[in-house]
Amino acid sequence: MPAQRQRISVPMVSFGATAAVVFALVAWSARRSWLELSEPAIVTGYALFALMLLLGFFNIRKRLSMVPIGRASVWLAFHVAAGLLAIAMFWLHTGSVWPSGLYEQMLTLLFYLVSVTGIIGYILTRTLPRRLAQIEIEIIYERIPGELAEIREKIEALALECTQETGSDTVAQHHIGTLAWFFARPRFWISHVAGGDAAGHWLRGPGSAARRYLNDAEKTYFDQIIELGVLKCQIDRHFACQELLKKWLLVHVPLSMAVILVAVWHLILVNVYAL
Amino acid sequence: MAEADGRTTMDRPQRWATPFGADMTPEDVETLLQRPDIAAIEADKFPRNTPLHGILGNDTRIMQYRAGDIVVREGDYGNSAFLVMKGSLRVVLAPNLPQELLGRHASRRKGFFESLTQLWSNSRVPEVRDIASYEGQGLRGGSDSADAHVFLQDVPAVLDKHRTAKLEDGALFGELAALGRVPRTATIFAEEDATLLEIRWQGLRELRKYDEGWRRMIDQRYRENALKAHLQESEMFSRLDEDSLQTVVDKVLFETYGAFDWNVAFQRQGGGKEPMIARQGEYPDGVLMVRAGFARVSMRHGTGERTLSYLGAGEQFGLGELYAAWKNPKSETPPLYTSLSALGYVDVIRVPATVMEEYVFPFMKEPAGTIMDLASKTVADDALMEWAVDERFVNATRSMVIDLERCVRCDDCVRACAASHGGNPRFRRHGKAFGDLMVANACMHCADPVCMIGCPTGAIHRTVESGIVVINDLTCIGCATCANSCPYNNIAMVSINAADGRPITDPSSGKPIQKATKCDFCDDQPGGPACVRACPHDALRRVNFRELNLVEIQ
Amino acid sequence: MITDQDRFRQDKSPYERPNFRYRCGRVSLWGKPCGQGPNDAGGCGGTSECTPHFDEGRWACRRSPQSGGTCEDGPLPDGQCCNQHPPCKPTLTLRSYRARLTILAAVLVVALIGAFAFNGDGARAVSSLSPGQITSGHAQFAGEKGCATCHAPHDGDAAAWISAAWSPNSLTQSCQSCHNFEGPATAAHNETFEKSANQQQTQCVMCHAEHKGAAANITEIADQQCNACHEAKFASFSNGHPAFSKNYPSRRRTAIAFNHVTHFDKYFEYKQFADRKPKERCISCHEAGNASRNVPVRPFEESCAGCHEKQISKRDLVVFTLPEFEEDPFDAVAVGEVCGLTADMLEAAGEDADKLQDMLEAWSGGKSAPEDAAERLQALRLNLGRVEGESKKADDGEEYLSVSEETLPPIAVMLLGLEDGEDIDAYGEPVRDLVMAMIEEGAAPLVAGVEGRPDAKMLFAGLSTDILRRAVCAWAANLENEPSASDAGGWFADELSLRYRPLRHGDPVVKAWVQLAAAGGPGEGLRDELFSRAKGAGACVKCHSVNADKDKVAPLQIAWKFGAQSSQRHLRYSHAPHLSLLGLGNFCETCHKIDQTAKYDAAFKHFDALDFASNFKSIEQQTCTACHAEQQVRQNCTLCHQYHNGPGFKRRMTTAAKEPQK
Repeated sequence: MPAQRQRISVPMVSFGATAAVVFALVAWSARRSWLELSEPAIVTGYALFALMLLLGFFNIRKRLSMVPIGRASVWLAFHVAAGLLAIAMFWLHTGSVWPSGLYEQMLTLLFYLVSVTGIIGYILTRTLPRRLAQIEIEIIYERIPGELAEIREKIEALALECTQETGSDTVAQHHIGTLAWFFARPRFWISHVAGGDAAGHWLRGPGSAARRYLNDAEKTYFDQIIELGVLKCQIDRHFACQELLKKWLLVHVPLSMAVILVAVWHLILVNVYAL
Repeated sequence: MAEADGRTTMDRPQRWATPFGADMTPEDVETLLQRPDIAAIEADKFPRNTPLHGILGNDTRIMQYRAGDIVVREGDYGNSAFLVMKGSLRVVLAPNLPQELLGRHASRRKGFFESLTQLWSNSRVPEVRDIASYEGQGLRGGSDSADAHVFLQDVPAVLDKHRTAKLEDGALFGELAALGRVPRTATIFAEEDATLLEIRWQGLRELRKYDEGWRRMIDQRYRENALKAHLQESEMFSRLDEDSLQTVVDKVLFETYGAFDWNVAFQRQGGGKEPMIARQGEYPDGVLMVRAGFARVSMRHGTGERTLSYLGAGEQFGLGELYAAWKNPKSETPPLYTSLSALGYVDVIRVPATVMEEYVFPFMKEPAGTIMDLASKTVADDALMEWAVDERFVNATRSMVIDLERCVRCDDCVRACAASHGGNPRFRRHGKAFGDLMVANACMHCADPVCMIGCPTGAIHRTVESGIVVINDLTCIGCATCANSCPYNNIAMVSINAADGRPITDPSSGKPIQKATKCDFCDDQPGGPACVRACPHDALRRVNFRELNLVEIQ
Repeated sequence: MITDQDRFRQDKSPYERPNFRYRCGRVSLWGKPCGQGPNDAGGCGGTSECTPHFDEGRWACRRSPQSGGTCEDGPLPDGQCCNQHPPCKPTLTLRSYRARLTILAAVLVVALIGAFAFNGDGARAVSSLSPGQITSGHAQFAGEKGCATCHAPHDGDAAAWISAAWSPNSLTQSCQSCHNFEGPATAAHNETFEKSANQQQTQCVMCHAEHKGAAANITEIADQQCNACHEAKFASFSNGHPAFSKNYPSRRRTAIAFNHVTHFDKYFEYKQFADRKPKERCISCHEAGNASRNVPVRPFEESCAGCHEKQISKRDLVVFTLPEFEEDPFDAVAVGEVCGLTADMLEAAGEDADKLQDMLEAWSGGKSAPEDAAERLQALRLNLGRVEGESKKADDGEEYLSVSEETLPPIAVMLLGLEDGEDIDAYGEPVRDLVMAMIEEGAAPLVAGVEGRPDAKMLFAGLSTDILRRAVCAWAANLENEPSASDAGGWFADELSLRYRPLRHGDPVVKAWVQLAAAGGPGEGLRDELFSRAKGAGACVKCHSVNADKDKVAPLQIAWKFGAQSSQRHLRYSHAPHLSLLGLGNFCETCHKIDQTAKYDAAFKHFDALDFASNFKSIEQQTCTACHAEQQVRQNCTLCHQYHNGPGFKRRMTTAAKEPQK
């Protein structure tokens, strides 16, 4: 089983090789077509369209895991290889990086956006989980709001108790003025995604600013609050990375629907006017 | 992460805080003491804090069975023995009763297209059940485990088709399962109304421990029925003829370490005590064969014990040392290189050195010494195994291991599981983690399934075909015995609902009906577990710890 | 909490259901979700935590264990759950949100396409459907009908537009609304080749793709694409191109019969031409500065006249010669009356020599000598009249002696409509009639003889009635004519014949007669006479070749102009860049090498222009590939070959323009 931990998977390599072969075949077929005074864009265009449909089918396959139609990881390897092949095929089909014509430009723009978001998304799925695994806790995304609510309750209880026990409301005031903002919802999204520690930095800075004004009794409460703050930093990091891992698809999938539809329109136009 | 919660004191648990039978009265005990097989027990042999009448009062209960009630099912794991007090029962010899009659369902795989229809037929209301399907299951009694029985609807037909043997007043059965963690070997049902004395394993253990007669009877039965078969299966004794085998059977000792209900303590405190079976540095007097359960092989390291390996059923301990002693009679007998301790509960057979020298060593090759090789690895290499053994994950034949460095937390696995089970997922994507690997709360289909002990209806059972532990939703009464037993919290109770979302309730009490649910390894789906198929990043695997070199998993 | 030891217990951690569409609304406000969760329709499911059960006179809490089990307070006395909450507003999960975004994207795309694709009429020159600008040339003509100028479905109805998706396009037809060729538009090279009758039809768009930008070159084609149809496929001009034809680049004999070999080797070496021979070689005659497909020869006056002009005037055209008669066909009286010298006049003159002389002078144009005059007069007397009642016979009793012993020339034969110019019996009367007619009417009967022929007016242009009259009057009197002056050229009559002397090169009268002979009709005789290189009138045919077409259906053609014949429709060659490279000098022989052994003149003995031998050896392919090869001068097919056969336009610049004169 050591192979399972390797990043380069066998399906990825074999699909990559197949993609290269397919590209060579289509390019050869297109050249043959050009030599025979036919339009090479026909064969490259239909090949590209078929590729796009196959790529789009990945979304449907994800709903079909209850029937044995191949592991999703193999499908993903296919999706990545086919996606890169589609980019190469796209340039083979258009012959240029940017076309003229309104609908062609729409199609090209959408295609580039889909490709770029796809590549970025793939990079995210390879880099963010490592960061998530390094966080000391593990939490399910949907449970984060509930967890934060519990932490907030605990914090408020601690602040209240501190005020009651020590008679000083420094901690409570600091909570109202500074900490409440931090504990209200996940913060420092960009820093967490980028791998920085702005949250911890803030906690050690403005978050802990009131500590110098506290006596020992208050400090015990305050330190518990800060400890919960550290826990919240970890939860926030989970939130930021997991949210990005979910939200990039909200760009990629609708765009891919749009690109397929515009491609269908392009197909219709070409068949009506040029073929 | 397995830290103690800081407490250092707790109330001493009471042995008989929860009696087995709530209705046992002193009169019942007196009646029992009149019976000849119980009267024969010498009461003064029992210690003061566990007197015989205490055992009878707290560790036994009187159960009434109506004609047709199934008492034990073949393949069930049980933790009690039965003494027939009145009435007659039948033991099914051959052929075995069909699964449906026993309250299990025959596992049947859906076809491809039938499985595909789940795409649109799954419900968006959680845990929808069709009440009509629960009719005619042959369930009697309420949700209290003591009362619920599965009964045979057509006893004469069963008697007609199957060869049976009769059990009457005074017959004792089920003690192997209770003491030896062996699945029930036969199905036994009541032919006419019967009264049975059910003795739970704790009481049985005491009876065997202190009463000579019972010990001899139980041991004899064990040797006859279970031990011989087990030795025959072992490679070391497979070549022996009948006489030699019988000699061996008579000479070996069998021992039990750890608590039968280790899972309870494990759940509460984690870890728990690990009784030492053999100690490093001592001189072995026999080879230890693990018959059931798991044992940890460890070596002293610093001020602690470092786990080198773990042994399960069929594996031996001390073979290398004894063989070396036999091979080189002139030099000193080597002491044990490692220690052996019980993980939860272990049944061990001790084969004396003399038996080994006479019947085994002359015919076998020199064992390859692997224990010392394992010791040459670093502590960091073995940290994962150390953790897995501590958490008792070594029990797992199909644990769900998620690689947290690959998992993008997309929940496709949970969705696939839900799609395969009517819209209801059967695991939760969280669990104990070590480094980058998380063992999720999905049923691990343990080699030693403690969850199955005590199911009143046999709804939770191990399928004959694949060895997967499944719960028959139709006969589950929602008593939560299995859910509370599972040391890994992998069984979840759910309230069931009607299709419109309203909870299904018991008309008399108004309480919502509960069912136990857990991963069934997609037993009825084509193609095996959907979760593995669904993960786009190969992060999820179903791992058999028994067959895995844990070093490789890293 | 996440740090609890028992957080994995099944009663503390219920199933997560990521396949459901809604999440509890409190979650979106960063609060704790309720235990029940929203229902699938998106409504809150947690307004009350349990459904209380009435049992034995009181309400009991029936909260499910997953939500916490029975609560402490129990239901309200009226049976309501004590833990009621205001309903939340369930939010969509990210996944459901994604599904909605996808549907929104689909709807947006369809809406945008619908909004902008089918707006307006097809008459806009640029539609949003256009995949790129069309060439500026075509764009000029798209103003009226816009896209529908070429794409017929564009302004059709919806059904036509949709069915156009699977029917082939009609673009070739659209192209032909302006472009035409000298052959079928959908045949390769616009030619119908015999060899491959089942050749695939060509469409314009196979080679010409529009919508590539306003300045795009849509006539570009790559060499490899030519191999699509050609059976002999090859890589490039210098690598596999079929061999040049025999005699390349000549496909037929030259229009003007100019033998380079004899001229350079022989004629130019004659001493008498030493001052007139060309000083350079080729470029003395060939105008290299004006070189294109041909290097035109300088006009006759500049290049040939120096030697050949005199020859032209030396070859007369003989129209009529007085033939031999056996007996006098003429009626002297009638002749005398017509010719203006009557018996009475003679009678009146008597013996007066001076008067006679005057009459004679008036009659013969003052050219006769006095001694001759007396003789002539005597003869005339004898002929004219038997004034004294003498017989016609001469004084010395001589028989009639025809003054001429000639035969009729072929032109006269043609004019008279005779078959044979030597049959005296046949031609006697017609000649007499013709002569009498000429005496009376001048040139008219001659002109009448060629009426209806092409260029009939030119045939006897400039023929003076005086000269003619004097000549025929003399002949009618069986006398030789006094030759008129002939040095100036033109019509003149010598002793016995009516002739035309070509004035100069290009003389229209002789040209007209030669054309007449070529147009056919009269039979071989006229042609033999006029088409003789050695003796033909005007020496026209000595140099200008006479050509029949292949089928010998059309009349013969005289090649009056240099180099006008070759119809190389698909071959393009320009001397200019090559001469610029070689320099104006005598480097023509780099490619055009003289072939000393060619039988050049033999070709001009017949009318078939294709049966010939060239003065020059065939240009070899190596000559071209020395420069037009890989990595050197470009050698693409379209450099030398033109695909289309006579491409042109149907449209005119203005509607008022008329068809040009052919």
